[in-house]
Order: sequence, then structure tokens, then C-alpha cells
Amino acid sequence: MTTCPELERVLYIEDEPDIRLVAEIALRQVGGLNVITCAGGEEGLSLIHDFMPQLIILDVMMPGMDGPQILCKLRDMPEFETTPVVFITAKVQADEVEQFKRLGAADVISKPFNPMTLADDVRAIWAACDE
Amino acid sequence: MKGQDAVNDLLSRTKAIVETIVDGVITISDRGLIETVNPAVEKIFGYRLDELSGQNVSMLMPNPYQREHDSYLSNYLSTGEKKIIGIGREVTGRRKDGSTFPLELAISEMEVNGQRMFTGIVRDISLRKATEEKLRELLTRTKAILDTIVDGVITISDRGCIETVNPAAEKIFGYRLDELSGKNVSMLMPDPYRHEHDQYLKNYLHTGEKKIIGIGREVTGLRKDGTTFPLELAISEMEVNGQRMFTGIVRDISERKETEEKLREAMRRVHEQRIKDEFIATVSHELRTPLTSIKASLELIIGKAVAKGSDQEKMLITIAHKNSDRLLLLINDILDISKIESEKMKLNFRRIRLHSFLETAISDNQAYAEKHHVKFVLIDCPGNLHIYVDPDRLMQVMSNLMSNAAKFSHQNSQIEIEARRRDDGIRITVRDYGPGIPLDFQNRVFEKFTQADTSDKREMSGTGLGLHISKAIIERHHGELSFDTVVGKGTEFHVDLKQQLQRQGSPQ
Repeated sequence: MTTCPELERVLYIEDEPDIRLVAEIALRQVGGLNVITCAGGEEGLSLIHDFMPQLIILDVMMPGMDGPQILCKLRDMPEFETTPVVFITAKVQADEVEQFKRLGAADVISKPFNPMTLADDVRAIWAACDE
Repeated sequence: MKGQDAVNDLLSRTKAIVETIVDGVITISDRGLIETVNPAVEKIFGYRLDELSGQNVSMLMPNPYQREHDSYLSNYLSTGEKKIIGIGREVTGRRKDGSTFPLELAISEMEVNGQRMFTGIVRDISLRKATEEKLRELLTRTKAILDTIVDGVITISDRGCIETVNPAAEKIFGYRLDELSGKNVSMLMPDPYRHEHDQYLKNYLHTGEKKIIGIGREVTGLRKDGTTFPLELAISEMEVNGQRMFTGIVRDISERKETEEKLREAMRRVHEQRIKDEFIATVSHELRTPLTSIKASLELIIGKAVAKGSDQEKMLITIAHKNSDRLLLLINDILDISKIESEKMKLNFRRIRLHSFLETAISDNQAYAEKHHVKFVLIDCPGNLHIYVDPDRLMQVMSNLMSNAAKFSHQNSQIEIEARRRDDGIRITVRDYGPGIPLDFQNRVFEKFTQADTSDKREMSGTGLGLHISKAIIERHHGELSFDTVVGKGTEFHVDLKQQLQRQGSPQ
């Protein structure tokens, strides 16, 4: 028996409002996760200490701070330096995926994603990180 | 007594000459015995006078000449056949220390008191010979170098006539030496350089103003077969026997140029491919973004994640619908880009009345005005002005400019459209009083997939391709799309079309 804590709190940063909406339904209603979505890095980082997410999902291409830049900021914060980060992106060429992993992403989910299984996919990444 | 004085005077003069000249003077009897020698002989051969006097002159010769001398002499005396006498030649001498050396010998014959005698004048030519030898060696080496180097070497006179060329120069230009010798070097240059060369040379000789001499540069050469090629030319100046001459070193750099060109071409292709790859990656990303919303919305509805007929379901349907429209716009824009880049965009030119066209533009784009709560106003346009354009494509440009202006305008503000005659055509302007284009974005306005400040809270429905396409469409009309903007005050986009082209017919 593993003592893997259950994944509950997920922060999702995405600039596309429509994708934010469908992802929220997918993670909360379908997947039963406690999810907070926000439109950009600054907003996300401002509420991160109150919410204390266990896992963070980042869109890659965003105006202002992009996904990899937010990841860098997180790694500089002692409380989040090991928090699993998942990139969710429409940039899905093999070399791009490799690059995201090298940057320290736990995994990469490609767009379009399946909203009915998104939460399960995220939970599987969470479980793999804990092993 | 006077006559005796004169003789004595002559004798002392002769003696003084003989004793001071650097040439050795030896007199021998008809039996070959040395009678007199001057001091130079002593110096040349290393013997003292008393060691030579009365000895056979053959002692001053190495073998085999030593042994042969007596028979030469007796042979001459009996037959009169001259081998050296009165002729002079180069022979070998032998010094007292046994060493030999080259000497120039001249012999004359005389009769003194009924006795036949011979005078030999000898000159040590070791130094001259050594110098000559060195010179010969140097010449051989220089010739070997000139014959084997790959660079062409051409010398010309100060009148521009070819004096010498090396084999490489023959090969480079395809001429034989005899075809070049004495000809004006300008024959190796194509026009217009050919005609300028004489002038250059004259000008240089006159003013000393250097254009190539001592500098070197790339010029064009002309081969015998009429083909031209790039060559690197270095010229130096020299003086030979008081004559100014020029040496040109030419190197055929066709191959190097070709390689450079190939390299440039390869790099251009790599660059183009990279741009293409980036475009495809961006297109793929841009298409996947609305598709993600559409697909996820529909899958949530199908998967019954939201209650049937609920507000959430309606919202998801709206998202799917709105993003389908966006996807369609994107696909159309990408097709336009593809047509523009492959130069397959065909324009259908027609003569239209500009005023009516702009009124239609305003009514067709009314939806944007309503959506963003702004008003489009046609403030100025000459009523009788006709233009020759592709109306559909120009309308596409107007929609792009007007929708951008609406998007970036403050609510309830006015967007002005006007057309004015200019010196060389007409200018259509779309003016908004919005925030202006940020400075750091101004030079990227017309690039593909660019949108300023998309973090703006307002919904940005554009594809980021509109202005790039609009600019291409206007350029296909031989016109220009430009803008003036003041941050905080507003932006004007100008479509400039040349009227002359419109009168003459299709700009195509």
C-alpha cells in the first residue's frame, strides 16, 4: 500500500477564456477536483499561497509571462520548487514536448484534450510523480 | 734630344699604365717563355715577378691546357692558324697555390727586334662569373616559380602593352603567349573596363592617383572565347632600365565565387525552410486552439457532463459555435496567406465609384460597430472619384482595418473613414481615437500571427493575419498600406493607390 496523498487542489493558468471554461467543467464537474483557473501568470502567482495547489497546469503560449517563465518563477519559490507542473499545449511537435520536459515539466498534455478524461490523465501524472 | 724625350715620355706613360691597370699584362717569347709581367699578374696568379721571369707561360695554366700550350704555340708559328690570338676568349688560369679560376684572355702578336713576341692581357673574371652564376640560378628559380604558380603573372609597359605572361596567365585567359605579346592588356578586359583602362593608366602616370596599384581588387576578366569571369587582381609597379613597368598578378576566382554563391543559396534555403517550419508549427497551434474549445465543449455535452437544457449546456454550444466561426476565419486567412506566398492570388480588377464603395464598407461592417459600441462615419470622399481595383479584395482590407479600429476604440467613439486625392493617386484613411499602437509593437504590425496586447481583457477575435494579408493585397494593387499612430491618441491606417495605373488599366 502506498501512502500517496490524494490529488485535490489544481491550479490551471490559461489565457484562452473558452478553453479555461471547458477545462474547469472537465476538472471540477467531471473529475471532482478543486480547481482554480486564471488568465495569466501574475494572477496565478498572486493567489498561489492562499490556494496551495498540489499540481499546476500551465498553457505554454501566453501573452506576458508564458508557461516556461511561470515554471521558472515557481522553482524559485521554496514551497513550490517540487510541485508537479503539467504543460497543456497546442505545440505538440516531438522536439517541443522534449524541450518542455527538459525545462522540468512532469508531463505534457496536448490540445485538443479529452474533457471526459482530463482529470484522470492529470491524476495519473500526479501518481507517477509520487512514485 | 727632343725626339728621345718624347720616346722617354711615352715609355714612362706606358709603364705607369701597365703597372697600374687591374688587368694582367704578360709578354712571352715565341718559345712561350715569360719575358715581362706587370704587378697585376703577380696579384692575379700569386707569383712574384722573379718566380715567373724566363719560365714557360704554361705554368699559369691547369692541365690539360698546360701540356697542350707548347704544341698550340708551335702550331701557330708554323701554320698561322689562330686559336686565341687577336680573338680573345675565356680560359682557365692556375694560381701559385694550385687553385684555378676563370679568366678572360686577349693575345696580340708583335715583333721586337726581329723577334716574334706575344702579349697576353688577362683579367680575373671569378667574381663576374660567380655573379653571373648566381643571376642564372635566380633566373632559373624565378622562371620555375612563374611557370608553376597557379596565379597568372603579366607584365606591361607604361603604355599598357603586354611584355611577358606566364603559363598560368595563358591558361586563365585562353591565349598563347604570342597572341598576347605586345598587345594592349585591355584586350583581357570586357567593356566598359576595356575602354577605360588606357585612361586609367594615363591618369595614374600623370597624377599618381592609384585605383588598383598596390591595393588589389576584384575585377572582371575576358577570356579569348569571349566569356567573362571574376578575377582578383594585384598590381605592382617597378622600374626596368629606366622604364616604368607594371606587374599584374591575376587569380581566377570563378570557382570561389561559385562556392560562395552555392553557400549563400544553401543558407537561404535553410532559412526559408526554417520560416516554413515555423509557419506550419504556428498554423498548427493556431488551428488547435479554437478546435480545443469546440471539441471539448461538444464532448462535455455528449458525455453528459452538463445537464441537458441547462445554462452550462447553452454556454458550451455557444463556445463551440463561436470557435467554429473563428476556425473558419483562420482557415480562410491561412488560405489567403498561402495564395499570397505562392503568388497565386488572382485579382479581378474593375472600375468602381469610390464613394459608393466606402458607403457599402460601412454598412457591411455595421455588426462590428454594434459589437464594440462605436460608429463608422464617412467624413470625406470626392463624389465623382472612380478607382480601378479588385472590389472584393479591397473590401476585405476595409473590413480588416475597420474591425481593428472598432476593436481598439473606446466605447461610443467615432471611427472616421475618408478618401482624398493625392499627387500620384488617392489615399483612403481609417482613423480611430483608441489607445494607439504600442511603440514596441509598431515594427511588427504587419507580421504574421501578431496581435498587440492580447492580455487585454476584451475579447480578441482576430487571427493575427489580417494586416499581413491586407498589406499584401494593397501591394498587389501596386499600392501601399501604412499607418500613423500616437499612443494614447489614436491610429490612422492609410491605403495609398496610384491613380495613373488606374487610368491606364490593370496594374497587373
